[in-house]
Amino acid sequence: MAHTTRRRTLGLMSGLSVLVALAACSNADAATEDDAQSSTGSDAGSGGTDATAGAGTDGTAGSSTGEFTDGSYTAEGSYSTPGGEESISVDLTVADGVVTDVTVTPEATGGNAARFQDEFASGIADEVVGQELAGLSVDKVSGSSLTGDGFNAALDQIRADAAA
Amino acid sequence: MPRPDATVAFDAIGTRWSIDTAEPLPEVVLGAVRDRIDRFDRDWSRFRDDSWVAEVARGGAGRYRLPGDAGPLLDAYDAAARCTDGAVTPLVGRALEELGYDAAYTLRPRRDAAGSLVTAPAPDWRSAARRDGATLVLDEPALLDVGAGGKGYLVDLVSGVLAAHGIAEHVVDAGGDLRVAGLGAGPLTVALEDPRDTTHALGVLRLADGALCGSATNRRAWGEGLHHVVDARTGSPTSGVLATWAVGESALAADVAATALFFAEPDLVASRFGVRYVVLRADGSLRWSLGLDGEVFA
Repeated sequence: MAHTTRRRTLGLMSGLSVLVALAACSNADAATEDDAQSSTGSDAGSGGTDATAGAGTDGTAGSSTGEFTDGSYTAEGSYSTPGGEESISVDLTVADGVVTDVTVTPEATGGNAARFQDEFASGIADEVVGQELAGLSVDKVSGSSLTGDGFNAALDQIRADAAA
Repeated sequence: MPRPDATVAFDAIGTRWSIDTAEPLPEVVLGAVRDRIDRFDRDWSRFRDDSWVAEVARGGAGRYRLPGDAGPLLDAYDAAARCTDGAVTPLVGRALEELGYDAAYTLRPRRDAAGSLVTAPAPDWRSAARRDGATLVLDEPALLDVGAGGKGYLVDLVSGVLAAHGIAEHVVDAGGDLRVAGLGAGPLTVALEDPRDTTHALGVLRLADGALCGSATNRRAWGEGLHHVVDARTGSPTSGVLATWAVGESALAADVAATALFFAEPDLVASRFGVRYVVLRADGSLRWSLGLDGEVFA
């Protein structure tokens, strides 16, 4: 079976669509607090987001994913670290609930801020098409845990019962 | 292949293990590894009557002395419960049983007259249980299931046994949950299996040192919508995410994070557990941390 694929490295490349967790970036201290933030929660992380998303436009309410409202945002945060005051500036554009453009202003040159900038940027592909394992040179395969014989035997029995 | 090239493989805790080392593993070391795995199983298995978990299930509400290795495992569950708003909990065992994933592998869920699944929320780890030093206090009866982190933790413990015997260079693989240590000859390359077609890979990661754990809903599945990744808040299998992988320093963190990634904002999970991730959603979209060493086929 032939698949049209293009390889995309996991590292940061220009032109790559990038998602930045706005709430996490704008309030880096959140990483040490106990607030829950579910990807399905409509007001997840609203405290951090609203406080700093000063440039938010009147985007259409209710994006398809519920994660972000469409519009343009500027998020800035500063916080104290053992290495001194650190700050992050992120400009991003959200369309259809997905970040379509992002500029991370490298105000941090090291320490935690650089780590947060690095951690809270991620790539997105609308549709992933796999490549055949047989054509890859790899040492291991990782997926769902292989199941033991007992589980598989029980499953076979159920299938047999269902077919009977 | 720049790999340790002696391999020993065996089945334990319901999955396939393989340990790669530069030299064949001495009997005494393999024995120590098997002993460590057996001890873990006697404590934490919900599939055997004589385990500590079974004793707690029979005892109901009350106070129980924790196994000696419980601390890091339950710490990780604390973090997972917080960042998933209670979706991940070690008190999910009864909910899994109701779905048919019980010690006898009944694999037949409870259904009502209309055929719909009969499910109930699991007790909330944050309110129904607490730790008092080396004691677990349960406010209500519960069946523990450490499926979200137990295997990864055991991979770490086995890696520790190898290191304690002077075997610094090794790969421990428990059904695709990996811990890699001391590979001077270069990183391990690992394909990320596509759960929709297991002859295909979604990408390849390179792992020089540390752990990679994955979770997916295609295996340990026994019917339409019936699998082992259960939202404790409802007691139902989750459906929005098909597969997750997490790379971290420890297999415990990576394993628990992989389950948390089914329920929470990935970057939040990344920050809590110090991991990088790949998440395949049910709509076929993929999201991944930048900075991972590898590539995705997108």
